[in-house]
Amino acid sequence: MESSEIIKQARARFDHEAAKKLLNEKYEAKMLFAHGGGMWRAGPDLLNLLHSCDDLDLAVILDLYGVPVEIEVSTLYALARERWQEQMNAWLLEYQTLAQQR
Amino acid sequence: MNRGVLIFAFNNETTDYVSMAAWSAARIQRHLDVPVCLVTDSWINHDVFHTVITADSAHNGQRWMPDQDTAVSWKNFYRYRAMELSPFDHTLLLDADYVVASDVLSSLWTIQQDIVVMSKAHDVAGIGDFAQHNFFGRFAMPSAWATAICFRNTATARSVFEIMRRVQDNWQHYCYLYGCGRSRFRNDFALAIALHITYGNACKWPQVPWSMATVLPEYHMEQLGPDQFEVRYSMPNNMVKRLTINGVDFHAMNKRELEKIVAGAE
Repeated sequence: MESSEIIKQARARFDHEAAKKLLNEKYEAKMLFAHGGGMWRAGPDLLNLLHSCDDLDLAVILDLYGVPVEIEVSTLYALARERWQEQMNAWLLEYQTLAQQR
Repeated sequence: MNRGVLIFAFNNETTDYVSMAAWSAARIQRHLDVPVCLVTDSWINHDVFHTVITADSAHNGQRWMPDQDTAVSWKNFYRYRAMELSPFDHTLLLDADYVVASDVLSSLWTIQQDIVVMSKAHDVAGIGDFAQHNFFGRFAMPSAWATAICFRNTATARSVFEIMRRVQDNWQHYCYLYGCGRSRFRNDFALAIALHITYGNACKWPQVPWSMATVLPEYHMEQLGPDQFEVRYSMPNNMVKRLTINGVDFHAMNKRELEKIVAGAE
């Protein structure tokens, strides 16, 4: 390898922009979970939908694949919220570590 | 219902896909805790595989490999035999160069669909434009990636693989029909066409709900830890940048670099 190439490689800057996008993709995938025969993505959309049904014990909503699934509102809400916060916490920790990279 | 991962690996004159598959199988067992079945054309003795199935590799000319700067024998036919050869009721078909670095694929077992495929991919560095790969043909039909397919032993899934065989056997016809120009046959095209036909030509089929991270052939890569890889690439302005992939599954198109990592691990 040429010296100039060695120097170029040694000076390689950490790509923060790409790293953030990769982290985004990583944790969006981790938001997925299965329950009651349906596939769900924990996050504001699902949580808000379930919150709008909080006066119901049971509700029929569409899962990620457009399949209608009857769910216990409170159970799915608890699961979704737990998953969401768990992954958001992990995301924050990894994001903070990433921010320190040079 | 038993479940497991199926990997096709046929060595050619430049790449030891079988060793790659063995390295991958160990990672799959660590992260997904399922058996791995290998389909290859020569008998091997490797403890990491639950089952080894020997099948003839069909050789269809040569393909240019940009990371190797040479044309190599292409032995990637017979992917349509995945259902026929799989010893599992619920199978996850993975390419040998798909690096499993997390347990996220485990969520595919819980999806109540006959077949679920990877339909979008992106460059980890955000430089490569994947629009040309996420769509194909003159009519920009949504494409599919045969890199990762999760299927159950059902009539619908069987239909997909049967149509893949027909597309392969009649590639000239389908190439013309979908306006693929002079494209050579690819399993990705066959899979996409098969899914279009099976699911009513509505451009919709069960998809893996995330995009596949991809390391392009020209990128350099090294392993820093069990599930940590550093990727280096040149930007359009010639500056070199680096990125750490930590606990994220990805498709390593830079087979030379992956081979070095696999060789280093042995």
